[in-house]
Amino acid sequence: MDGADVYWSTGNGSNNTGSVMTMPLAGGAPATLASGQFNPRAIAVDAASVYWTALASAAVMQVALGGGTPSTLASSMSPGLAVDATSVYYVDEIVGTVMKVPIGGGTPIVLASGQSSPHCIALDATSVYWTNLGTSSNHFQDGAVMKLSAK
Amino acid sequence: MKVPLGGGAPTLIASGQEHPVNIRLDATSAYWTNVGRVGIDPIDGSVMSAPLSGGTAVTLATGPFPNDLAVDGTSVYWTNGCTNDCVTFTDGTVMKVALAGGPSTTLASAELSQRDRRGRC
Repeated sequence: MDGADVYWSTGNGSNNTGSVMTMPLAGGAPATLASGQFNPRAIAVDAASVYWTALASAAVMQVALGGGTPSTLASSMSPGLAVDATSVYYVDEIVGTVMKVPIGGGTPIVLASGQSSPHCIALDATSVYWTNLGTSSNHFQDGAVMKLSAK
Repeated sequence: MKVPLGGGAPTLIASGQEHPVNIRLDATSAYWTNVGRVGIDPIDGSVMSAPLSGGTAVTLATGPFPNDLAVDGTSVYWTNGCTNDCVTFTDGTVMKVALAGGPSTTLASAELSQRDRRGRC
């Protein structure tokens, strides 16, 4: 959600039938910002773009608020996503890393590695926070909440 | 020479959490939902908080398969995956509790979609 609009994603499968949608908070017709997406999940919005993670194609995606051709910012299986003024933050649940990539694209940076199924992400002015699901062999009873002070 | 790739060493806000999924922040605290045990009884999800600077994690509420989460100036809001029917998940709820904990309130009942039941950010 930004000041005037709400954004959401549809689609739940392994195929490319998902979409990223928007409509005015005051009501009106929904508009499709991106279609043909592979299980789009976490959505973040800044003044210029909408960002989401396409779980089934393991991609972090960006499209302009007005729509257009989506671009792939990074390749990663990331349930979570967050954005600040300079970077998009995401995880790689399989590899166990927390990453960031510049808005608009560039070289991804590893912020943390060796994480146990990192999942959702939150940001404040200085730090990045995330959840580690834990391990299935321990019935996910060994999860953790983590913080990295210098994001 | 060895240079960190970025960020430095993460610190632990809380360990021993049972399948923590969503996380939200306010100016002082982190809030998160623990889905709870997966595949074994009893069902024991929880809504937690801890100071951003580290410290003791507090259980704000317990419930079956908490997942989605939001925070405002007074309360934490979340979805429970079920109330009684935790097999087909046709009876999810939207819940509320004060930031400091206390009795929780059911705001709404709803059938949650497949993707809302667990593990969605």
